[in-house]
Amino acid sequence: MLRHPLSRIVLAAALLLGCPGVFNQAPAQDLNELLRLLESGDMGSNETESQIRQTIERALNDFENGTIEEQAGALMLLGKYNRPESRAALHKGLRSMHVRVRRAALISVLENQRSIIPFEETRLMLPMLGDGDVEIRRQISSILPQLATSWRIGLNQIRNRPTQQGWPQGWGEMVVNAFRDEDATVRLNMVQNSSSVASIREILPLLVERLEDDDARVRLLALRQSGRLADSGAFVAAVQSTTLGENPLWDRELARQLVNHARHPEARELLEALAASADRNTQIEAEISQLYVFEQPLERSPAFERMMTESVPPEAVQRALRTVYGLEREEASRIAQRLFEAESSVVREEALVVWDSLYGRLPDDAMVVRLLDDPSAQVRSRALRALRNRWQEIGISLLQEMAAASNRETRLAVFHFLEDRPGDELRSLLMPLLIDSDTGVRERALGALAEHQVRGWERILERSLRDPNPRIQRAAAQQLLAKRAEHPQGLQVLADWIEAHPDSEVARQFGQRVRSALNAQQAPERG
Amino acid sequence: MNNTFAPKNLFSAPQKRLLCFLLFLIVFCLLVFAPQRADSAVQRPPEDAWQIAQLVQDDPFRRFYPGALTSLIETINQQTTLRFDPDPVYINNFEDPNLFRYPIIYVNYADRRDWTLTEAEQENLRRYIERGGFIYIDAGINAEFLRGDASHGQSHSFADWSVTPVLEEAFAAVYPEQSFEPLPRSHPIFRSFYAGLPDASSLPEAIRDYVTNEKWPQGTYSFLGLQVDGRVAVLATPIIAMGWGRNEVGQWTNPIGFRVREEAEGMSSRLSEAAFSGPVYNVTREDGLQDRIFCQPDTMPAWVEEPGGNFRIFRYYNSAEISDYAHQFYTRLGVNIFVHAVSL
Repeated sequence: MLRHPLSRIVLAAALLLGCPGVFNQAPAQDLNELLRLLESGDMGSNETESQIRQTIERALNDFENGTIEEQAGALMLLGKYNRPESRAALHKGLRSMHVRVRRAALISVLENQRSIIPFEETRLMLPMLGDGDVEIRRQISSILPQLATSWRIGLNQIRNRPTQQGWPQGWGEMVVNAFRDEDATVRLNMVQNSSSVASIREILPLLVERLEDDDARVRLLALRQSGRLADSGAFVAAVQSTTLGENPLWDRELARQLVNHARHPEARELLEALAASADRNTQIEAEISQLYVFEQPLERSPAFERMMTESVPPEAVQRALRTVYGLEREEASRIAQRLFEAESSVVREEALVVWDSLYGRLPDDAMVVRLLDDPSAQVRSRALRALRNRWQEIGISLLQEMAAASNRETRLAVFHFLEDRPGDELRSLLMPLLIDSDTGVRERALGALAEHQVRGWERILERSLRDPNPRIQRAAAQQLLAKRAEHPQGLQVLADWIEAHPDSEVARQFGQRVRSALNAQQAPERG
Repeated sequence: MNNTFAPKNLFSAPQKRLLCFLLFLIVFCLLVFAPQRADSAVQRPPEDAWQIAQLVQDDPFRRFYPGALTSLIETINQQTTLRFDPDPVYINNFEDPNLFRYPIIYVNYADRRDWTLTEAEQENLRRYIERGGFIYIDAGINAEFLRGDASHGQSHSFADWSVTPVLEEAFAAVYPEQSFEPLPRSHPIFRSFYAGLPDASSLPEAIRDYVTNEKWPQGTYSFLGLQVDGRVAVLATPIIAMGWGRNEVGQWTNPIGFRVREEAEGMSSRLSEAAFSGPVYNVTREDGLQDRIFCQPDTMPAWVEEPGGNFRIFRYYNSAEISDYAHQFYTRLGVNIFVHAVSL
């Protein structure tokens, strides 16, 4: 809106002449303000500072003197103005005795957050974890990580020294109560965000306690969190009493978490029982955990066999392949190379991640092309990313293989790596792409040819106007028009072509611009 | 089923009807009688899995929401007995002669810079649609305040009941007699697999009513369709792919918040007088009337004047439950669209 300079000038004139209806309410007060508004580019709907102040004052008055509903409404409106006086009212609203007002204030405060919550607001919001209103407790428990971060940063700034503790008074008890809240969503949020409050002493027993929660979602999440954080004795004792085979999601998670408790004999027994589960995915998770617990070599494990021949969930593949990082370089390399041949695209993709992290260089050219030509879009995308990270290693032979690949995307990827190539190399790469079977590739090749001004580019563009494909004609016309400074004769060729083909798409799309450019080219210089 | 969607030779009308009926029957039986576990392992698609074409005008590696479609396909393959190849085929325009191999073309509106359809594209699209093809244009509905920059329509899913004018114009060249029309809430597309909304009990009380009764009543949304031969052949929606993507470990990739309309006693008159610092836009409502949207800078709608002069304020709610709920809803919508597309 009002981006065009002419519209700003018209509006400026309207303002100066006092035309009604141009502005929503009062016009700008003086020329300086007008200039400021013109500068900002959105003056057509801007209000003057005084109107904003009036709106805020009215809302503040409603907040101080209105009914509960009016107070809530005032805070909703004040949330739209990120001014100190608005925020002060919102902060006061957070401490209101009325739920409706507190809720309105809380959402307004959070609505304006862009990155880190200011310490002052965190100080007011943390105690709301113990609020009598369940909606407020849900909201606060769901933003616990942001509040904890803000709290730590704020304390550090105040004390000018790092701190691990220093929660507000009564906070520990509030957190304990929240873990045992009557509302399952609050409990779920607390378990989910437990690492944010992990410095509180009671957290680990609380997580273990939640393994017996009434709500299945809370139990499952507690299994994941306590498996990571709790000590082996307490964790294994708690999970031993659960019945295996009832809930596959529980069994799979348990199989994953037992890795963290490998030294505990009962944990090993549990893992063996899970590997014999009737659920295929539980078997997979248990087999992968056994790699860690029993230090089995990956290549000779049932998990490896599965990865080569079956579809395995991505998370499981990642877990299995983490074991490769601890191996000797040669062995790891051999495993990654074998996994590039796996049936599952997930495995091939992860193998590439492993390779990239371990070696910081590309596999050999043939393998790169093969991965770029992979049937899976995810693998191709990952391969291209690896290539981009190692662009300095890409030789002309690899690019030539890519330009000849059967997959269109692989051929398109060549255009990412043309910068700083010598002219001869560029020519040898672009020539086959100019006669590619895919129109999109040809269009890009024409663009690259003109951009890098590869030898003979002028004639190729001119000849491309005669291509039977209208898209190629259009791409050629676009380039001839864009490069008229470097190749002025090309513009005349284009103009002649348009004159000879007045009904063509090129004529419709570019005719006017070509005529204007030609006129400008032919106009005499003026001193 | 083989992965060639439409045969090269045209069927007669009765043959087409019979084929459609048989296809519908097969899909219906598969969906009803063989439900799959949601938590089963990722399965490789069978040889005859359908493949979806995704149109990306430029570099397919730079498409919006790159993991969204593959993630949705995975969900469809897990939740229904339909089988789609998890790897879409990328095409860069509608001229592509391979178009006819794919029953569905998915396009994110912003993945095509220039929606001027060439004559060859127009001709191809007519043939594709006449042969039963289905085109889904995600983010093809962009409220006026989102039209300045295509990327704005990628992060705001705003229910407008008019299609982006650029698309209207593009398809007017293909079917001059037809235009995009809103799909009624009772349209079968909203119930083709999932019916209704996910359980809303986890949502904050303050917004639950608005979400279930106004925002997405009965699990519906603002869909506009171009009807050809009595079926929706081209579908446009506000962006919903933002709710499909899961990362490699199955978590939703981007948080989604809710924009809801709220009111409080006396607020309407206060809003009618309130100062604002951004532009004002009109948005078409379901009833055909217009809402006036007052924006803050950065295209954040601040409040709305509804027909009749009532004002309500826009409030922005964010939490893990809200984000999960939005993802569930958008994913269900996505599943419904694709199931509907191949059930006709």
